[in-house]
Amino acid sequence: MGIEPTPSAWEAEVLPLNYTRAVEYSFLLSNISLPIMKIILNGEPYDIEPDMTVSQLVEQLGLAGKRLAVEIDREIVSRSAYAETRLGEGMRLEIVHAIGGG
Amino acid sequence: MSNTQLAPEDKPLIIAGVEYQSRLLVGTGKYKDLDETRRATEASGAEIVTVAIRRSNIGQNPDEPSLLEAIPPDRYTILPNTAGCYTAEDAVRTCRLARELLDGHDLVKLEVLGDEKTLFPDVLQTLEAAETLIKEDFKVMVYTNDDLIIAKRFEQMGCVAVMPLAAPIGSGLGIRNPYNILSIVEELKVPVLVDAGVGTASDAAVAMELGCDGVLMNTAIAGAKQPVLMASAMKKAIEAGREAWLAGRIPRKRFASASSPLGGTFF
Repeated sequence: MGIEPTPSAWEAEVLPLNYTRAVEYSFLLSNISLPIMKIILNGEPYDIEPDMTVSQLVEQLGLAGKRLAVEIDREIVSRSAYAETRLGEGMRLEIVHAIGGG
Repeated sequence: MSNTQLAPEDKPLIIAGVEYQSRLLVGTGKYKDLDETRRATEASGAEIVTVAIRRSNIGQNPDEPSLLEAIPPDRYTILPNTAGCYTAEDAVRTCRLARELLDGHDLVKLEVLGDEKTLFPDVLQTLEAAETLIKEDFKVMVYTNDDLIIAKRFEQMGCVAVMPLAAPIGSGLGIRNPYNILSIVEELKVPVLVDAGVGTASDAAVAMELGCDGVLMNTAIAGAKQPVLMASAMKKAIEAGREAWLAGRIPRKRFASASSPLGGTFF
């Protein structure tokens, strides 16, 4: 994040060093339309809308209702937690399924 | 579930408290398509079927049929494997994903490989993975070398089945060390299954005649010219070998022993 405030901080009444950059902030806020967040999905860079949940992503990929398992940063996300689990910048996501093997 | 008939003298195979009529376990890799997988699996009479866990294809046709539609978990016991793992960590991760994928189903086939050319197991990594998995309440069927000492160790740790290789995975070389397999069978109380190395029906029969509780195979069926027919042959070989073991073979002798009575000859 560097010295930039986190997305949630934009809503705060007082931002750090806000007096120095008030103009820039208002400019940015009025012009951001479709921000993009980058994650790593199955080893490849992948762009999503910020604050997307796992279930929204699974839906978008056309995998809803499929038998799969999801891991974020090496931790299992249980199916019951898909709807409330939000994806964050740079997260490493694995979506796996069963295939033929011996 | 299975079309396998038990011999009247036989008992079912019990793994982790669950009874199985079939002593043939099959893999689902290397088939031409899912229909062939389904037909060969059916012909084998297997009730336990192994699968691999891999990344879903992102951006490809999501409507293409999946393996678990061809091999439905309500009909077969799905045995996820850790094939392709070279570290304990990867194997444990794979098992955790598999358990999530299969709604908490905790029977797994653990294999941690040590060498790409032979696909021989890395026994040290396998031990480490087994320890973690057992702590996490997985029921571990472990692929290992035909080494009695290590096999006993896996049993002591709490593995639910020990599965020594007969020969390298996919090699079709048959039972290379029958006496090692025999020692493991004699010493262990948990089921011992030959996993890997079977090439044809007689190899499967030999494994069963040694007293193995079952055989797990993939390539020998899927790689045959006619996989469905080979699946059927393997089913019979497993049954024949099992019955022969139950029946008790005659001792080997160096010289002949006439089958027809020596008395009453008229010449």
